[in-house]
Amino acid sequence: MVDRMADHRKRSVLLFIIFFTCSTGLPVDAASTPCVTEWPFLTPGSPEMTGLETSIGLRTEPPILLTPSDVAIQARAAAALTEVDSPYIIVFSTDSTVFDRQGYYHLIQQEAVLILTDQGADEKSTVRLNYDLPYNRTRILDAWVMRPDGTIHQLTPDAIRDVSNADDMDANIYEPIWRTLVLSFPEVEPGAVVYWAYEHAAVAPRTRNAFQWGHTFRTTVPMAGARIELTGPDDVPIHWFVSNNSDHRVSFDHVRKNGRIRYVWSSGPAPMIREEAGMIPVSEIMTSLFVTTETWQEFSAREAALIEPSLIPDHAIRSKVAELIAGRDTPESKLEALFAYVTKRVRYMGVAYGDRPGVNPDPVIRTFANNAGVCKDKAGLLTAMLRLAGFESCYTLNNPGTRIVQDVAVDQFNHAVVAVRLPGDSAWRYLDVTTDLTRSMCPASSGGTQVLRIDRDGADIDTIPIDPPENNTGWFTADTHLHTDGSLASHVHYTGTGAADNFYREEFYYTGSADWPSLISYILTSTFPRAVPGPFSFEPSEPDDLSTPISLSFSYSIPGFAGAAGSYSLVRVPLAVSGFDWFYDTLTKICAPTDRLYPADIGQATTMISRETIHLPPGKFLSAVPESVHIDQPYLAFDRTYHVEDQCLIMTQTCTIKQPRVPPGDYPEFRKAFQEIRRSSLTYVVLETVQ
Amino acid sequence: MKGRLIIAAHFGHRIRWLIVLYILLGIPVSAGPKPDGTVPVNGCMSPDQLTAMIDEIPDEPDPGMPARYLVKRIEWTITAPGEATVEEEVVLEILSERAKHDYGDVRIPFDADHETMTVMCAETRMADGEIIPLMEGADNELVPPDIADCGLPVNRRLRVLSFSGAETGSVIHYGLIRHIRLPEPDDAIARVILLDSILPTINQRIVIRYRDTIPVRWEEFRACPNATIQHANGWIESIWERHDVPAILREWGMPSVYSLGAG
Repeated sequence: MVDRMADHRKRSVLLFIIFFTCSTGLPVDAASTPCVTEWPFLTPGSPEMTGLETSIGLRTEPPILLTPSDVAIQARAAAALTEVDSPYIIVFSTDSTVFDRQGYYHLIQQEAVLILTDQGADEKSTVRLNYDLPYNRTRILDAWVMRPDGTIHQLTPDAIRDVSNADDMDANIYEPIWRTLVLSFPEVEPGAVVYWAYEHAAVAPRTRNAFQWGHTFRTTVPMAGARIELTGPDDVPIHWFVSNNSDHRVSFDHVRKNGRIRYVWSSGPAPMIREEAGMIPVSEIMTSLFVTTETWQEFSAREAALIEPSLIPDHAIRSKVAELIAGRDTPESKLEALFAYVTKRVRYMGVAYGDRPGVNPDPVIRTFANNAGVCKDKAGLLTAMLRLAGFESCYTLNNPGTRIVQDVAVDQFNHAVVAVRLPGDSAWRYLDVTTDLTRSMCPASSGGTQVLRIDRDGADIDTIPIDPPENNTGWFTADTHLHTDGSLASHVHYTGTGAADNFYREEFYYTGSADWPSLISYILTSTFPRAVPGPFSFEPSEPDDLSTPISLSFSYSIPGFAGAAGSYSLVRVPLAVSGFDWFYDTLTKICAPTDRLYPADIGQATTMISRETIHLPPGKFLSAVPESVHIDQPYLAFDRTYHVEDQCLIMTQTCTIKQPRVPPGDYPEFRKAFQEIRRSSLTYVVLETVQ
Repeated sequence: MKGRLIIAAHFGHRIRWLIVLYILLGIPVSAGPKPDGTVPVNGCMSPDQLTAMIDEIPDEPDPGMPARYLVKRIEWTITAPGEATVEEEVVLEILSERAKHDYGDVRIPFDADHETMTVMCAETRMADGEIIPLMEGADNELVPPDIADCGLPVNRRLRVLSFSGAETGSVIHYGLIRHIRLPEPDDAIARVILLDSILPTINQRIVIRYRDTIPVRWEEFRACPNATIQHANGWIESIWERHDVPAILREWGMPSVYSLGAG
């Protein structure tokens, strides 16, 4: 009912906009003065100013900004097209960029959104435009709100703040060089149009003698249209790719003139991407343009020239490496020692330093001396230490959160790892030195993501192999006694490898030892509300001690667990594994939607093995044993068997997720199989009294 | 010297330590600002003073605590309505691997429109006594993400100090001075100073001093000890000192420590 009312309201807003713009024209305030800000952080005569002038000078034609009337006409067209269940519509997004062979560029971007709901008003009251202090600047050319009655509220400079970008603060990364212009629009409401135009230019090439660019044509809100113009020297070839464009939504054209080529990509209306619970990252589904002037090989070699000087060790590092590998005979043991040192000893410190902060690793000498750094610094240090130990090793770029576009060499990385090749191996191994709660050197969740080794000779994009389920296996064992009075007493033990170890390790680490009894109580009572927790233990006592696998043991009792039914007793089986199995909970969430448009993302391939022994009370016997369950699909395998032995009911179960992602076409069968597992997990057995 | 002993007498079992601390810090216990109104600044302990102070503290941390405050000193000097200088000095001992992550980057909120902040000292003292200063670039000023997005006309910032070398057994030491000046004299400076923490505190000293002509109201709440109040040269000085303050133990679903702690 609420949804219907919300839809009705949105339709009313749309109808109002269409009616208003069609019938009354556009009573806009044509005399309003554009809100133009200064270029921030620039000193006359500085190299940055010279660089900025170089970039601005690339544009031979003055920019044409849209007027409120232009925008209103496009908003009217967008309103007629759009879906009603979006908070706002992107009326248009235009981007005009000029670049040169050195990597200088100048961009003018204009965007307008039509607000449909209060949520949309809330979201778009603030617009954030990022820039990167060492490499570029942004300034506002115009920004305003057109209210539903057509009046224009011009943004004033005091409504624009230039602040440090704290997007990654939650990840404990402070990048003082990342800046954000925050535009705070007044009086944004449903029916209003918010417009902004800005200029963005290089003050120094981030990638010298190379250029990369991109834009989005379809995203999680409807887009009425987009147009991207890119102009560059006609003797500098570009490589470009539009992702998720199988329906040819994005068209391409180019014109050669006066030693330059103007490339144009444009698209018409694009429906919104409707996000689904447990789906893969939405960036993998968006329709986006990627442009670059170089190949992955060239990208890798260029970065290596910049990064390798930071990886030169000093005497202190040499001594430490010698100390760490002393007495270790095998390459694997040396690798483990060096990895453990950088992962555990060197603190992850959320500030980026270096000549190109945010890009280059800090010199390893400084990272070692300070015993601290972010991912790139720690990766740089381990690379240098591995080389000193005689291993072939590379500083490597990665994006652990998503699978990137590999077709063209555009930087989509946000993380640094280490590539190492042990003697005799042909394949590279990838090590993540920031995973200090994971016993494996590369977390299973990174499987399938892309890496680029930074190598003076160049390297191609590579993919981290999917970690097989056997590397991420959890073992539950439960020993349960049913008593004649119907009460139950059970002892449960859990251990695991890889992700199966990591899950409970993180739970206990972040909970803190003082609250472990509460955590155990929560786990128990959320499964069995009447459970009475008994003794428990968790090893290692410091969960971030990675030297041993976790070992979780706990006991509990439940009075009156077996329900009486005349002279019989009813007992639900299996007991422990159905409730305490974290993996089962994850799959329950993943399988909530009835169908999917996009692949489901389970995270990693995993196996959960359970064995539960239920000791029956004396004088009782089972009238029947539950049926076994056997499922084998491309993405899921499941086996559960029961047998009776020495007055015990023994259940063994193995559940394997074979692949971390399930395509939408295979999802219904996957979901059906999981529902079958759930149904079979609600079985009761009948205990009869021996006559 | 008499003043020092008077204060120390409240904590007889701590006399020796306090004498050492006051000598090290040179804290003018009952002096207040000078007659000309200049705000006294005690400054940071030197590395030698820091070492001597640490050596005086029994090495008996509460089991299970990830870290402990060895010193937590906050001194407010209200010089005029709407104007104040605040001096803070913190010495934090890292007792676990986890604490080096949780406390290695210190975030200090402030209002950039009405406050200026100067870092007097920031360093890490390693277990072997080596002092590692804050490295270049490790002192940053940021806009908190929640404020950046909210569009409110406030200018709250975070000063983030990232300490090199922080590890189990090391000690983080920093000191800073804030100058607060509100735009209108009638604007009131209002703060809650919480004495309790989720970490134990070995030595705590809170001072609020102000001219006796300035209307300042404060109230102690919960288990806050009574202040020692002194009058001198037209200034009033209220001092709260505590030692071996236990941590507020966290429980699931508990209220904020601001709802539980003394202040």
